Amino acid sequence: MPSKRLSLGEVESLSSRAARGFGFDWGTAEEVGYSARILAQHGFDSAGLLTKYLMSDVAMQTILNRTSQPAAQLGQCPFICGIGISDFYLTQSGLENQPVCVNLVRFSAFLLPFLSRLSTKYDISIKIDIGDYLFYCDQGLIGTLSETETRFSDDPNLAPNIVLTKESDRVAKITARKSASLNVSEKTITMLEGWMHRTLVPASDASRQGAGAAGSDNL
Amino acid sequence: MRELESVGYLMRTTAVYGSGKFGAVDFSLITSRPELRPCFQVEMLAVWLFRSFTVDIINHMARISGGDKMVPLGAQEMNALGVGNSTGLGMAPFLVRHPMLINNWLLAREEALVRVRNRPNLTLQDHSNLKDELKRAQRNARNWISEHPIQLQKIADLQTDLGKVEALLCQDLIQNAQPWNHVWIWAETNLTLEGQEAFLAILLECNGPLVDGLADCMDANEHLGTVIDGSIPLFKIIHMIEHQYAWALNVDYNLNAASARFWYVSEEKLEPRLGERFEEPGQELELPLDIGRMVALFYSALCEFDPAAVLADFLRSQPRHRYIARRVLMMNNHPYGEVQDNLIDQSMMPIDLLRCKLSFFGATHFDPRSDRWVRISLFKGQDYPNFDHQVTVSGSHNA
Repeated sequence: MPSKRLSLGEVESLSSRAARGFGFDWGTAEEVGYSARILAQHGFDSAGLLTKYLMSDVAMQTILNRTSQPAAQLGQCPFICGIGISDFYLTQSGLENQPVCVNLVRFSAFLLPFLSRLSTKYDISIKIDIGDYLFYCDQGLIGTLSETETRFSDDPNLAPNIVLTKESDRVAKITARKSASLNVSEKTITMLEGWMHRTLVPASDASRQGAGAAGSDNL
Repeated sequence: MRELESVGYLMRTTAVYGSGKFGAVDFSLITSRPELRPCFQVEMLAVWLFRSFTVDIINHMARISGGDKMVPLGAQEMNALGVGNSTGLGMAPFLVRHPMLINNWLLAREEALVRVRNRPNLTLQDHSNLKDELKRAQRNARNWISEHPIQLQKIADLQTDLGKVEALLCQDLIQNAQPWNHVWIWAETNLTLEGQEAFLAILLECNGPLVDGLADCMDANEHLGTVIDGSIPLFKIIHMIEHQYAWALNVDYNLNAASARFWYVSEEKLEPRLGERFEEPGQELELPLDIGRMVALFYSALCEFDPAAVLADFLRSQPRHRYIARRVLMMNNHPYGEVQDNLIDQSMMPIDLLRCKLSFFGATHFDPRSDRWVRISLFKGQDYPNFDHQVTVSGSHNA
């Protein structure tokens, strides 16, 4: 399948603008961009997963509900869930003070970047228990404690219960993949650009007037 | 030769926004290399090397065309060449979208000025250096061209101001107590903003060893500021806004003139453009660059919310304020991060944003074409790399 290599900056920019074009407010669209970037940095096809998410009923319902959680039977939106965990981290009910149980999240890999950013900001380790696997976030890294290759679910189906715990001690060493770019299929790029294009305004003669070098300096 | 002097370049760059665009590697790949860590260091290095390529390709073309009669570019012609760059509205949002970076740039500038003003003595050598730098500035300002009436006036002001500086430097400055501080206060009182900025550059150029290390403080890890601490009580956010954004709250955005414009991305060029809100379609697709107005709306919504609530509660209820909430928190300890002006006002001049950024790149030979774009030259009059020194890499080939 034809593909194109995007830098992390391009993954972030395309993802956030696609999310904005889909209908998220600018602040949430930024969260989508940050998440896509961090997952891509860990070698995960975040652009492909975002495309699946934006085509899903859970994304549509999230927008229709004005960026709050969709109806329970659809499962939770990973971005709204991640925002909640992140924003409430230091509050009395937050992850700083007690384990947090997250149920039935769709596209659950998108939760990880929120935890990764929390681990950097508050200099902590977070354990992510999804039953069969344990993942950790520390100093921005997302990974496991062993060399065994394990992947967080990129299955859009409902994830099992996930228990998040702030570790009392820092994790010694996390095995994590690192990448500075992402190979994205042209089909995925076309779809994301389709949403992104909804944010564009046709140029007018007035706005072209004196807008810049590209408009007149090459004549 | 006159044409070369006038234009200032034969080859020019496209966007020098940063790594990770148009096939360039992501910045994260080079951050571990200390020599490339300062902002735009690798991009500016590339531009400097392209300048040499300009000379190489001209000489090569001359050789192909003229054979034995070919005459290579002389030192004077080479000196007149920089690398051109035309910068328009596409770059203006950079200053708004990277507030932590811009804060660190301006902080370095302010710190540099403080260090210079605090110097206790001005020596004969300093006095001589100031005169030399002034001559360079005057030569540079004489090369500025514009067809825009406002810019023409600014160029005239700059040239007049540099004349005033020349008169100042004819005086005996050495006997003054705190002479560097004395000349800066004089500049603030007697020069236009154009002249003050040029004089600041002269002062810094004369104090390289004192300020050059600040270049290492100008980068920023902008991802560190993206997590919102939702536990902050709303009354504290309100206080932050009143303290940091008084300039934004003092504008009546209901006036058409104060909201006359909107920033958008053009479908045609995929670049930011400025539209007239009440005359053109598309304002529903406005980019979030109207920071002042967004802050005012956020402030108003906060004041109507339960004051005992925390930010996380507020944002769960009103997620549309998330973008500006993050920004307000981010700017709490970044006093120079905001362009403290209404960027959608009828009278806003985008070129001021462009010039601010380009000045940090060391751009010279400003050629403002309108109030929306400017031509510049980079590295004009600077040294060329010395390629005579061959380095053997791994014993296999020369680099």
